[in-house]
Amino acid sequence: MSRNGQLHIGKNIRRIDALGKVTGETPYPGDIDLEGQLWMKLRFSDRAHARVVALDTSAAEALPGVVRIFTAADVPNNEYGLVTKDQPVLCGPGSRNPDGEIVRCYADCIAVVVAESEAIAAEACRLIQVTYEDLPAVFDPEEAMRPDAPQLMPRYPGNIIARYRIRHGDVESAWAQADVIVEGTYQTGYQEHAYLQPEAGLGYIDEQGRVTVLVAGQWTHEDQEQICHALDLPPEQVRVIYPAIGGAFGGREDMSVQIVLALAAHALQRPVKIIWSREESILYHHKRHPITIKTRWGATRAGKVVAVEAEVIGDAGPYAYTSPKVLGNANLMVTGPYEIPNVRVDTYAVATNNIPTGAFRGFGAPQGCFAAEGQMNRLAEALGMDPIRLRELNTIREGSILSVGTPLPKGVSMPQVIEACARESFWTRGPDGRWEHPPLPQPENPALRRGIGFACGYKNIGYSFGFPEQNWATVELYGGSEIEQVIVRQGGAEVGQGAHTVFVQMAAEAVGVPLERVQLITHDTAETQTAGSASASRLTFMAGNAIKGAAERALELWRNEERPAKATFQYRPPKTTPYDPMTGKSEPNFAYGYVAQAVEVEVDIELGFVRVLRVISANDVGHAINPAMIQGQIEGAVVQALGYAVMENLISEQGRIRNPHLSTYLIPTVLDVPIEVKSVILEYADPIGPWGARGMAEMPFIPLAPAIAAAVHDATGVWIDKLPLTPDRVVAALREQGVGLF
Amino acid sequence: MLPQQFDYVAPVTVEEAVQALSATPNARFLAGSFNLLIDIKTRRVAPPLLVDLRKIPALHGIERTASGLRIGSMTTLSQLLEDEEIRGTYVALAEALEKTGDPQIRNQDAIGGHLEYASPSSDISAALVALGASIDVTGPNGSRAIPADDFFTGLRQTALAPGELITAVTLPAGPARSAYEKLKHPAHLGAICGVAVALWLDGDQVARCRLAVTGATDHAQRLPAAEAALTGWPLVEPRIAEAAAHAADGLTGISDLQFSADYRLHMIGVLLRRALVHLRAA
Repeated sequence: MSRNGQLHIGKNIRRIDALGKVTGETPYPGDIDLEGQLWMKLRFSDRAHARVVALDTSAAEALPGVVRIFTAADVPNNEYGLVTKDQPVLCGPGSRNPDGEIVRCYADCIAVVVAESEAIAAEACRLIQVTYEDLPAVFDPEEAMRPDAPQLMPRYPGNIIARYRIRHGDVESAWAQADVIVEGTYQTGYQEHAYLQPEAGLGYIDEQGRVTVLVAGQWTHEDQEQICHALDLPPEQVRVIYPAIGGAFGGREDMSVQIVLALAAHALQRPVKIIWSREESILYHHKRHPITIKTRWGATRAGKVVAVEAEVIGDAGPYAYTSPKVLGNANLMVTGPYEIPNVRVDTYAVATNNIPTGAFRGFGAPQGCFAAEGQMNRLAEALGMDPIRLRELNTIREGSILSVGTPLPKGVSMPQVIEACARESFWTRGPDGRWEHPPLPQPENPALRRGIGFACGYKNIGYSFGFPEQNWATVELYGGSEIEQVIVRQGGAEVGQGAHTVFVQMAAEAVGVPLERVQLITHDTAETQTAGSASASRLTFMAGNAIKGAAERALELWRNEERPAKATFQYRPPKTTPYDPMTGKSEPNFAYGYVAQAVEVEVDIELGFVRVLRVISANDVGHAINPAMIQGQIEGAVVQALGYAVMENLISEQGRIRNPHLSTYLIPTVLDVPIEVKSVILEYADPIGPWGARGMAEMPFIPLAPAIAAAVHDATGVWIDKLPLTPDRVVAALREQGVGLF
Repeated sequence: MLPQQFDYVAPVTVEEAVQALSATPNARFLAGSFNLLIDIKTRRVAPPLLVDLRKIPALHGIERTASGLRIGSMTTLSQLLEDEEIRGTYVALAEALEKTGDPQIRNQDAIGGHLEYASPSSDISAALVALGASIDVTGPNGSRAIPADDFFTGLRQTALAPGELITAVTLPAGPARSAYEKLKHPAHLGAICGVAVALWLDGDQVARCRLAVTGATDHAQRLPAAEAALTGWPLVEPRIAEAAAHAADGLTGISDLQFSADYRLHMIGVLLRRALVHLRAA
């Protein structure tokens, strides 16, 4: 038994999906074939912004083996989208929805070809003749905001998809109290999710006549809802099943192949399969938002931050996807984990003809944190103050009021997390209470300079700003005198993060049975109720509370001699509220996770390569349900964030991604992994988390980039405020400041 | 992707190979098959005939000559790297070989095919230019030797005339000291920039030097401004700095999506300096 008498949680239970995945037995969507299946290929736009005036499919249809070509006219309700249904499923003539003939980016789809083989489908795609009438396009969000810019959609006047304001305190008069003011413009780049498994799926009619889609996603019931909407079908006629999912990171929150597979399977009443290539995956699913943040911070000589103003402009691409939510989160995060009395923030999600942007691990927090922590590190330099001390003076703590005018939910551990990270990395508290660290040993080679950096952050767990939040679980107890089997119905997606193992651990704990008696039924809209998405670091928290609630109720029935004893429970966390449009006043979130990171880097000041040597990541996870998996999440997030910070440079020119291959879009390999990633797992219970657990999957991503930028500054004396810190960019910045050996 | 169909012959003499190639338009010589087969598989080229050079004994082997070395064009990079004289006397070449790709690539890649492909990110091209190599070729109109300085003419362009086959690479007597410094592309392992240095010394003075760049420019070439800065002087810090500062003078850089021309041109000076500091210490 572990502490507090717990049987299964807090233990490094081996993942229930491990053996099947490592032996290759577990099928991913692309591995599954059905008898008589056809193959699908999609024809995407050749233009960034144009009206499709004519579509000639005759040559493609004449190709032997082509079964059917679907165009806009074939989609009953030609619109979809996660937050707003603003994107045509297919763009072209005959759309039943207004403006459905317009392509607004290269990721817009024009036609769906279904054929007897993949090669025939691909050839037919090439034979489709599309006639475009070009429309003026805009690729820069600041240009898109100008009054004379091309307007992309009537529903987004001025190309503004979403805007937020925070007006807290009195910023204007607060500047007078500031002894030191630092200003900066921070720019972040696109990031590609680069999950191992490119999009794939199979549409077919199941034994009960339901249109069924096997696919890798993040929320079965949302996929089902979007399919139902586009095909104008009731939910009982549409079923979504997830086989194993090869990574997601937010990249599978929006639709890729779901709707088109359902459309084809429904029309043809035959199985239809599609597998995207890596190139298609990179070209056609959304990316992390490039965001530009202009910001100004003022502090007293004593180190108290008294005022912050910021303008946050995010490139949304032409459609909403989750941009309103991502920029909403950036709007909150751009002031960092600090209690600041006077704040003014203006945030915009701007429509452009670039690739759509959306959810990606951190969801706007990494960009906000890059600016906030960059400013804090500069303030520390300007004040001649240790960065840890400066953070201690300003950190949010229990009872702190956020920039949105309301207190944080209880369980704020930011001060403890900052302190733990400092102690576990390079700092010690001297006898006078000041933080200090010994000078870093430097390599003999004068071109190599080492430096350290620190950053911290926080992020919501679960949906924010009034978005309905719920998770359903059913627990069924079977047996006679003792519980012999527990069936848990819980739809939360196992995207690789370990959710299903945690569900089983929590169910076994709640019921009080050995793990092997628990069977999980999941990933199928026909078998479970909605769980919400695998996103917002929410599944441990939300599903845990739902499983716990269902288990407690089932146990009560069991004690009342019901056999089997079955209970269903819907967990709903405390309500959140949207931003007030004028002031931003809101209760944005019901729970948070806290993180701080320290890094050591080595910069080759001539070649510009930044090598991350050491990362110390302190994370308050509330209660570590499975510590080994948490360590895995921390290490994975650190490597992914390292790529974001120093390597991953997705290049878009005139709306077209120029490097849609892993040979030209460079992501970390084992050679780039730091020598040491030290996971410091802290457990300050969340008052409403299951067994005190908080979500943690995104948090270790968030402060790494600003910590690295601070370390690069420590090593070289130069601030670089544009991500990623590629060798090219680092050399240019160092040469500009005259740093180098010749 | 599967390659398109092609015919295949494997002659045993240079003359037969040259003849076979001339008889079929767009035919290609097949050497180590490292680059060509990839191009055929990805359908960048579709030669109707491949003339395999592997069975021609005259193209294999490394010979000591009165003045230096003669390297048969079918010698693989691995074989070159095992040669003691190359390791001892032609250090810049040995270092370039060591830094080329990985063992699998070096086992496959033949020097003749490598040079004919004229990749801008080739490591050994700069070393051969610096070491003053010449390229022996035989074609329908006979044989000739092309100095390495003149061999590379542009992006994947060489001085080879149609139908000419590289038979050997000859190296003159080795320099006093030589070295190759490289900045490796993280994905394809080729040179983002590479600099080869060969020095002939008179006491502590640089009597003569040959410096060459690869990767940063569209073809391997000499660095005349830097050579002028070093020649006739001792190898001391101010001269090294001067050479590095002028290394890219007059050159046009190439770029890809991740490494700009500016960056690459700047790297010439950085790497030249590293090579010279290393040689000074040696």
